[in-house]
Amino acid sequence: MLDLFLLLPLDSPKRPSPPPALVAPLHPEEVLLREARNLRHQQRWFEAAALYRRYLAHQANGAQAAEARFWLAATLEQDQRWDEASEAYSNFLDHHAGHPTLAQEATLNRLRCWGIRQGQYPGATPGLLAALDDPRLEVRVAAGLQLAKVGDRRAVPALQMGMTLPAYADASSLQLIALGAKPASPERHPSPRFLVIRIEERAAKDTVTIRLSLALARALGNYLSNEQMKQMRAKGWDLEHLTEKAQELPKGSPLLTVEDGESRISVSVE
Amino acid sequence: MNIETHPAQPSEMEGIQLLEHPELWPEDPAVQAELAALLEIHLALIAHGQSLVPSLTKEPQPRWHQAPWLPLAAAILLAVLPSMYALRHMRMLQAQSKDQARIELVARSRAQERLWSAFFQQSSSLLKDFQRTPANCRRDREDRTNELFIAQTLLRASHQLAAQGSPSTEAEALRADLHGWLMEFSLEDGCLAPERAEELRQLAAHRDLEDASLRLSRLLNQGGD
Repeated sequence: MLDLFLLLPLDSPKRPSPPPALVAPLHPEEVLLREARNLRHQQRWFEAAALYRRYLAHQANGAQAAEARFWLAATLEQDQRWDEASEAYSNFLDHHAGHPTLAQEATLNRLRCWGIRQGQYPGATPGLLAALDDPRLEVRVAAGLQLAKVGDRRAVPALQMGMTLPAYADASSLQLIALGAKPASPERHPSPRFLVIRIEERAAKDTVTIRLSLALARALGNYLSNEQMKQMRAKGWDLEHLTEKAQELPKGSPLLTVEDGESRISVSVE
Repeated sequence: MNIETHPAQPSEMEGIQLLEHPELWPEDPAVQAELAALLEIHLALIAHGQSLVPSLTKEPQPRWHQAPWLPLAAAILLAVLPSMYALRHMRMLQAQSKDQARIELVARSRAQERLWSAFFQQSSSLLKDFQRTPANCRRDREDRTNELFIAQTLLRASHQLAAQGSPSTEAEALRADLHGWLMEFSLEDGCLAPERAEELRQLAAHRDLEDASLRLSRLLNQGGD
């Protein structure tokens, strides 16, 4: 009786009215989870978390326990209760490590919570360091990116591997440079080539020269303003195919010159 | 040697010559005693006088090529000139390195803003597409397969951006909101129940995700100029 009472949903102004006739009535625990979701959608995180906890207290092995554990952790994360959230994600992963859709998300979200709490929560940095040995490359790279945010150079090998993942290549490259490491080229060219970027700024006396590995040619765009990017496209160059085009040119070939009100940038292949 | 002698009063020159020839000295013992005393002084001068010459002679005016400061000045110049060149070169390198570091920083910040801008722009497009009525699947359900694929891709991008760091607190807050929405949607089946689809639409509308994403996308893209 007490169980049933605890499983009764809380009142909510936006609670959907119970579906009439023909539709099978929801079980009390399903009503509770639906209520928790409604509260979550209204950003009433504290109350939503309480409902998920109430559900789990009585349905620890229930059919929807995995979803409840995951959304409890996600709710705590949204409420910026990082330490509770990371512990809740750990709890989820302890019970449902093989969950087909939620396990990866829980793992990555937990990395984020730890990343935010590095140096403040005792389990954060050890958790991130342990994730550097995770069998999943994406998890290793994500852990590396979090560690790199506080300048931890132990992230470098994972970030170098991140260069091979298109979704993480840009972020990995940026963090490697910030850590003072040279991003490893994901492609191997028979003869190493570079894009030499010469930047003449109106306000500065000297020309600054930057050498960029051809495999990282897409990063050229980072040195160009929107106006210069437009000019580049107008001249028939696009960053996606820059590597292939530059590879065909003999060394020393000037590639393009673009300028805006602040700087003039010339690029050649060396 | 022919020396005219004047026993009474010899001249100074004669006296000196006489000193070196005692055999010509006058017979007078008093004069001889006087000359002997002078001879001692004369011999002493010959023996030690040379060492006294510099102190007795007037110090010569230094000539420019013999000046004692010249080697010192030359040594200083030899040491200082390369140092000055090295210093200037070092300052130039420092200035260049400072310029390069600044340019790298601008490039990093521009790359970050473009990634975030693209994420917001694509999220905005997805939310817009989600408002449209799609084809049906499995009776009256909504076929959201394409949108689901995009949502899953954006969810991964959101993880990447979260790991990388945000350009502003506003951007991070919106990313977290979008992440929540993307997570809700990504965990669904591509063939959505209309009630659930409506719930997701309302959730996005309640937080004004589409317009906020578009606005921040444009704002961040301006940073590329």
